Amino acid sequence: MPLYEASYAEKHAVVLDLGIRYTKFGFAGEDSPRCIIPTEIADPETRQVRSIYSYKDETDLYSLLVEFIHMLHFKHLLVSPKDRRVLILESLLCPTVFRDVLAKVLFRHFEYTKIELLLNLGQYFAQDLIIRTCFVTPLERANKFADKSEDITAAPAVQYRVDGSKTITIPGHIRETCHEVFFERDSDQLSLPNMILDAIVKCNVDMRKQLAENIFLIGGSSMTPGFKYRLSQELNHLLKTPYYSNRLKINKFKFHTSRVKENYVGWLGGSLIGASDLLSVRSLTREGYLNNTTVPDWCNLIYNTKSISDSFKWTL
Amino acid sequence: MAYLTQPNYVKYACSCGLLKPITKMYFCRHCLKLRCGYCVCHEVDSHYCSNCLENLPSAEARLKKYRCANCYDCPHCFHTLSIRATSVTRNSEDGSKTASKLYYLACFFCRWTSRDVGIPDQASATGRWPERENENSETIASLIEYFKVLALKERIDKEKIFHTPRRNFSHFSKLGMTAALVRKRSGLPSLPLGRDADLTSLPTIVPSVASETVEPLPAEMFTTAPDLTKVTTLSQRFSQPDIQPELTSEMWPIHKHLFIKRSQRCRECEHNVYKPEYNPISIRFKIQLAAFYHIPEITLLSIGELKAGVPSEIVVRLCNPTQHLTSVDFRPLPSAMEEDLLWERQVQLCEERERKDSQRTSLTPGSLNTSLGSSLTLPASLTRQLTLYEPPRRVRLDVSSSVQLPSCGIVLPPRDDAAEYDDSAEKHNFQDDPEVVVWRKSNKAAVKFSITPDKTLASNEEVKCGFVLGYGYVNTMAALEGHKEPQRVELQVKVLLSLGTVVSDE
Ligand SMILES: [Zn+2]
Ligand SMILES: [Zn+2]
Ligand SMILES: [Zn+2]
Ligand SMILES: [Zn+2]
Repeated sequence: MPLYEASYAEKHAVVLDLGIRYTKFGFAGEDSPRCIIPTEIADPETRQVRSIYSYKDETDLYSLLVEFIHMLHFKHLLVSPKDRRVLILESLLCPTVFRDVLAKVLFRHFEYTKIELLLNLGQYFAQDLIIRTCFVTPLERANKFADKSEDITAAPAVQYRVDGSKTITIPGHIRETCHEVFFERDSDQLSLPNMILDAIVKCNVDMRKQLAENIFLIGGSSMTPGFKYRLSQELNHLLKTPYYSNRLKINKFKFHTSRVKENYVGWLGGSLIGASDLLSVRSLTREGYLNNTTVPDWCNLIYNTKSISDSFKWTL
Repeated sequence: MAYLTQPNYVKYACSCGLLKPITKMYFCRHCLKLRCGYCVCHEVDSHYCSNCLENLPSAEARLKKYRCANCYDCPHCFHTLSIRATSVTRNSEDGSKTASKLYYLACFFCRWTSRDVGIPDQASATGRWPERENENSETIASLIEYFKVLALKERIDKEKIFHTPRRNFSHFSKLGMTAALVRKRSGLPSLPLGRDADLTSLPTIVPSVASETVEPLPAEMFTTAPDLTKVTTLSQRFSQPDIQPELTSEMWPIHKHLFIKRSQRCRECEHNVYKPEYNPISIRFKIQLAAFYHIPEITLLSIGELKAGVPSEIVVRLCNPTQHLTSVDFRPLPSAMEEDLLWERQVQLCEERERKDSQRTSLTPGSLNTSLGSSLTLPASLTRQLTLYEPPRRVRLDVSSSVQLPSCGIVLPPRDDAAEYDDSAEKHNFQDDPEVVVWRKSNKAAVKFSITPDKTLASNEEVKCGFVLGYGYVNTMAALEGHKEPQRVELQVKVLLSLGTVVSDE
C-alpha cells in the first residue's frame, strides 16, 4: 500500500443485522438503520430471488452473501466496503458454517478490516399478512379458543388482497390465534413465557427481582398488538403454578417501553456499541482471522467473556 | 443489443474461475488477465440524484444521508413525485381579490398527493417541504455519548492493569501523527491526558422506567375488522426505517435515494479497469478496459442437428477487435484431474502470498502495539495493512460432447473501421485450409468444428463443448513503461459453448 493512503482517517463503521426475514443495515452511531430490506437476493446463476438462508452448501452461501452484501453497499449505503470496520449482530442460533462463510466473505471478498460480533437474541418472523391483520389475543380468550367453547365470537374476518386481483379471507379466529405458537405449552415446556421464567430461575437469587422488573422486548414479533399484554398475563399465570411458585419469590413483572420501533432495537444496540471505542477492543482483525481461521463463538468458552452489551438494554 | 436479451451461449472463464459472457468482462492491460465484476474491487466515485441529476460531493451526500434534498418519492408506490400547482384567489384586507399559486406534491402513478396526509400547500415550488423530526434522535445522541465514555473508561481501566511506560512511545506513528490527532479525525472521543484524568463522571442519561401495567387491547379490536386500505404494507413501513408509519395517513414523502457512479479496480495491480466520468450527465468513460476491445470474440453462427453420439458441425465466427494482427489456435480443455491440480496450485500460491505478507507486516512498528494486547492505540489504517486474498474458484467446465479442433492456427487481420464499408477491399491473401475456414471478411473469420455429443445424453439434455483459445496479444503498456517495442505475448482463455439440446431420433 502506498504511504499516502496510510494517512487517511479511519472510515465510518457499519452495522449489519442479518435477520431471518429482514436485514437491517446502516452506520454505527446513527439513530436508525439506513435500510430494512428482505434478506433475499437474485441468484447470480438463475436470477431467481432466493433467501440467503436457503443455501445448499458453502459455495452457494458464499455467492449469495457476496451478491447480497454488494447490493447493500452499492444500492443502499452507497459507500465502499474496503478497509472498513463492520459490526455483525448475530443470532443466537446462527450455524457455525454461516458464521465462517460470512467472515470469509467480509474479509476476503470485501476486504473489511475488522469484524465485531454481537449476540442478538431477537427472533424474527415478519410477514406482511400476519403483521397487518393479526393480533395477540388476551389469555382468557385464548383459553376459550383452545377449549372450543361456544360463548366466544371471533373477531371479524378481513379481506386481504394478493397481487391486486385475488382476495383471501382471513377468518377471525386465525387472526386471533396465529401467534399462539409463542405461548403453546408443549411437552418440553418451551413456550416463550416458560423460557423467560426458566432464564430467571437460572440466575442468581439477588438478580431475579431486578430481572423480572426489567423485561424489555425486542424484535419485530413483539410489535404485534396485544403481545406485551398477553405475555404479562401468561407470566403472572405461570408464576402461580406450583413449579414456579416454589422456585421464584417474585410478585410482579415490569416491562420497559421502547422509544424506537422494536424491530430495530437490536440494530440500534449495535450502532451504539459501534460508535464507541469498544469495537476496536473486542474485534476480530485480519491478522487474528489469518492466525486461526475460525470466528469467535459465544458457546465456545474461550471467547465467552462478560460484555457490557447486557447493560445497554436497560438504558433504552 | 442482442447481448442484453440473449441467453449466454458463449462463455469465457475469468481468472477468478467464474464463467461469464465476454460483454461482462474486463481485461487488465497491466496483468494481462481477464477480470469480471466479481473479482475486481468496486469503489464509489460520485453520488448523484437520478431525478434532477445533481452531483453531490461525498461529504455533502453523507451529511444528507445519501438522499436528494429536492426530489421526493411517493411513500405509497415509490414512484417519483411531481410538483403540481393550483391557483387560489385570496381575499386581502381591503376586500380586493388576488390570485396566487400554491404547490403540492402528487404521484402520477397512484394518485397519492401530499394533501392526503395534511401537508399544507407551499407558496413556492422550489422551497423546502416541511420535514418530520425524529423525536428520539436527541435521546440516542446522548446514549451514544454515554457509551463512548463507558467504553473509554473500560479501556483506561484495562490499561491501568497493563500499564507500560512504552505506551507513550507507541503513540507516535511513522508519519509523526499523534494518536490523539488520529482519534479526533476518526470521530472517536479524545483520550484524557494523564493517567488520573477525571473519568468517574459519566454523562447523565435518563434510565427508562419499567412499568407493571400493560395496556390491554382496545375493545373494538374484537368487534371491528381493520381497514387494510388504511394500514401500510411492510415495504411502505420499511422505506422509512426511523418512523415506520403504521397508518397510510402518517406517510410522508420520502427523499429520493441517491445513485452512485462507481469505478472498478483490478485487485492484483490496483489499476482501474473501469472508470466513468464524474459528471452524472456524461455517459462516457475515462477508462474502460472491456474484454471485447482486447480479446478475440467468438460468436456461434450455425449449429448442425444435435443427436447423441452422432458427429455434427458447428460454425463459429472469430473477430479480432485490436489494432494489431493476431493469430489464434485451439487446444483441448484440461481433464478434470488436471483442472483440479491447476486450481490447487493457484490456491496454494494465494496462501503463500498471504503468509509472506503477514510476516512482512508483523515486523512494522505499527502492528507492534496490536500485539501488545488490549492497548490498541492507533486506528488500523495507520499501520501497514495485511491483505487477505480471495482464492480463485475451480472452473466448472462440465462439457457434454467431444470436439475435433482444427490443428492449424488462424491469422486474423487488425480491425479496420474503413474496410467495414468497402466491399472491394479484400486485399488479404491467406493460405487457409478450406476445410477449416468457411469464409473471411476483414478482421473476421468463420471457422468450422466437428463435434460429437456424448452417447449418454438423453433427449432435451444440453450439449456443451469447450476448448482453450490461444491468441496473440500486443502489449502496448510495455512500450509506455520504457520497453522500446510493444511486446507480443501468447495468452490463453478457456471457452465454453452452449449448443442447445439433443433431439431424439423419432
Ligand atoms: Zn472474475
Ligand atoms: Zn434530485
Ligand atoms: Zn404513488
Ligand atoms: Zn491488474
